[in-house]
Amino acid sequence: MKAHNMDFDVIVVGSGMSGGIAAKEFCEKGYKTLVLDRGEPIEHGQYKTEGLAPWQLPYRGEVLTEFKLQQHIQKNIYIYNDFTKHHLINDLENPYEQKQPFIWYRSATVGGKSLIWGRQSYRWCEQDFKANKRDGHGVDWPVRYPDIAPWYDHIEPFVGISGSYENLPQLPDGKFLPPQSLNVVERDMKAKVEQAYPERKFIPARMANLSKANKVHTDLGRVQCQARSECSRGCSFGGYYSSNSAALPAAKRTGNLTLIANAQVQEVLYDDVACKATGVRYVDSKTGKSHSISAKVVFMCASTLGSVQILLNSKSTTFPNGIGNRYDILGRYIMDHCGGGGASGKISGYLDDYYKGRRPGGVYIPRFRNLENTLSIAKSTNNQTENGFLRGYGFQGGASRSGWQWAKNGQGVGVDFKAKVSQPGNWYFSMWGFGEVLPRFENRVMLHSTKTDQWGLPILVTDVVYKDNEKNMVDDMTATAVEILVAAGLEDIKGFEGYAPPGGAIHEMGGCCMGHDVTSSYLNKWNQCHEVANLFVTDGSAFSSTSCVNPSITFMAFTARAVDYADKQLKAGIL
Amino acid sequence: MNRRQFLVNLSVVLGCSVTSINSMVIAATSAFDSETMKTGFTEKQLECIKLISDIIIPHTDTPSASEADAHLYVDYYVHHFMTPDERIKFVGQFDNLLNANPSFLDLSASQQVNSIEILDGDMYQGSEQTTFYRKLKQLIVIGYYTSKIGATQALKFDPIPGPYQELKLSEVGRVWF
Repeated sequence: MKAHNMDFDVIVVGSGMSGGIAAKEFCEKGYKTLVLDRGEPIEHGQYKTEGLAPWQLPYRGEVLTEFKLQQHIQKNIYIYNDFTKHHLINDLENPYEQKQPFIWYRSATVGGKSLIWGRQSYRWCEQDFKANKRDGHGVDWPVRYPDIAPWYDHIEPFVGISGSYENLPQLPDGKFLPPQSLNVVERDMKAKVEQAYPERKFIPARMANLSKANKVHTDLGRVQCQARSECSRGCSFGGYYSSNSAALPAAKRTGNLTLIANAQVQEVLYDDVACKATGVRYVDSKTGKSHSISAKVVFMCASTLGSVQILLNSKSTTFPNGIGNRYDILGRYIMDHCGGGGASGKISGYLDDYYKGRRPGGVYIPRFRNLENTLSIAKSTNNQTENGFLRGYGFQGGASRSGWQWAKNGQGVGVDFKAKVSQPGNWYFSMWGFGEVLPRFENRVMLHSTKTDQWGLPILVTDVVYKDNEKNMVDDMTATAVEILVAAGLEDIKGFEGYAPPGGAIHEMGGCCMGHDVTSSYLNKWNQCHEVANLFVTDGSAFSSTSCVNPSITFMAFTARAVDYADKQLKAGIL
Repeated sequence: MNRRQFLVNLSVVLGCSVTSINSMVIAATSAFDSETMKTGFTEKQLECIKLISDIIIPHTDTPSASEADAHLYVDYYVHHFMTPDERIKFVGQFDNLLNANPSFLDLSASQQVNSIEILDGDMYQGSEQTTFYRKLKQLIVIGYYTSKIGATQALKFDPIPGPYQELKLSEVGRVWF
């Protein structure tokens, strides 16, 4: 297929979780595809801190104050250290304003957050897509599970998800690689917890780490996960899925991909006469020069807030408040997962048992609160708010033996101290929740009226707050986690609370919600802008609710589905 | 000019109480560029840290802290990583230990061990002395166990462990780095 009078067939803005898949799918269908990413270029296999031992960095992984000041937001991310900091932006150069506290973690490289993600991968379920309609919060999703299920089937084998088959309605099974194994302590905990609470399933975390490499992976140079647990430095083995290790190389080998890094997209260009998007304008962040590029179709995959920011800034005579934003819906319903409530405790015994390797993930306890059609409903007089909140949450966790790190702040001197440090300590188990946040019209981001960044893009203002539903849910996480660890027979159990501000779970979603009509939503059921037929948004901003499971695999599934639809429309001559 | 006075003077030059980011960056850069800062601890100070390091992590079937150059890591960290404020505080507290009467270095070997054991026993007390000791011990522990010798001999180190496997502790022998 050739671009007629256009620079490209398709422009994809962003090369992360969604953009990588958009690029791969379009390139494989024969479209000349341009990917623009605001980050620095990075070559798969040339990750500069990969494989370095601690003694090879001057401060053994600790980050100088100088950098922490430059990354005063990013420094709080759980993977932040001297091995990973260059994968995150400089906050001083990328300001935003928090009308209400919002932690905005942002990638500094091509591949976006796919390079540094947590890799937990779960399907949404039918109840998730019905949730908004059922309780009246947010806009009703224009899709249901059967619409997206084939696209999970399509994307999971390519990504490579390890998982066990559990036959749970709230957590549909997928096309899995062999599951990670639970360790001996976790197996015994599983038996006790599931006996005490049959609806609380204790299963291996489903991870985008290759428990086994199939041909689709080895063809791209990917091999089995080496259990280094250094994913966020980048992995030349391709042991975990990233755009850099999988989607972008797959796109590149078709010969149809053009990728430009350091390209800060400013706006989607709109033709008021033809009523179509004509391309995008970007600033080369190294030269400061502005470039306009045309294409038949534009896919926005610039991250949830990144896409919203660019779309709000895409102003025309028809759309003075941002392209496709006639009804002040763009930037509304910003969500994240609430969470952090959990517990930890000690397991006595098992002192002869140990392991080799740092497992990419541990245990997952799928949602068990407020379920539509499972054991918990049958057993209780449940209604939706039995526990003081709507919707639900899941737990992540794991058991391991304590290492040498206690010695950094621990007591002891001499031969005995050294001998104690040289042996693993007790087994400990920790678990923490991720909960579904209600979509609220008033939770929004907008452009600052006067301040711009150094490239001229108006900075984003966040105005997102959690309310009682989230607080009650997080409280329940803490109480329930304690209850579960008691049932599992743990000692020294400590519940903990976690009221991280929005953004803290790095699962931000919403802003360009999918829905049934133009007055209440931004996108239709194909991730297509209601008002601009050749403009698609397929990252987290398209999501009308959040489920309680980690969202990335679902971003990818929706992206692949939207590309398939756009392809059919292009071939039919409609786009 | 003694070292302490030098650091105090330097702190004025570098603006230790700076709150503005720009001057912090300048301060950090200057710390890297200054020849004087690179010299780090005096011989006497370094000798003292070496002694304390080996009291905390002595030579056994595996090398001691100083054999893994943990004392040099402390030196490097104090003079390159710490902010000027942190450095002056740390070195000042250290000098108090050195300049006490009798000085730590003048004690007999068993008295030295004894005094470190006392400090260690009180390490959570929060006095100036124990706060200094806690930071010093932390740097020694990190300096040793993240060194090549510490990580690969005193602990078990495997950069590419391959797939996760359950094993008996006896098959591994030591704690993993």
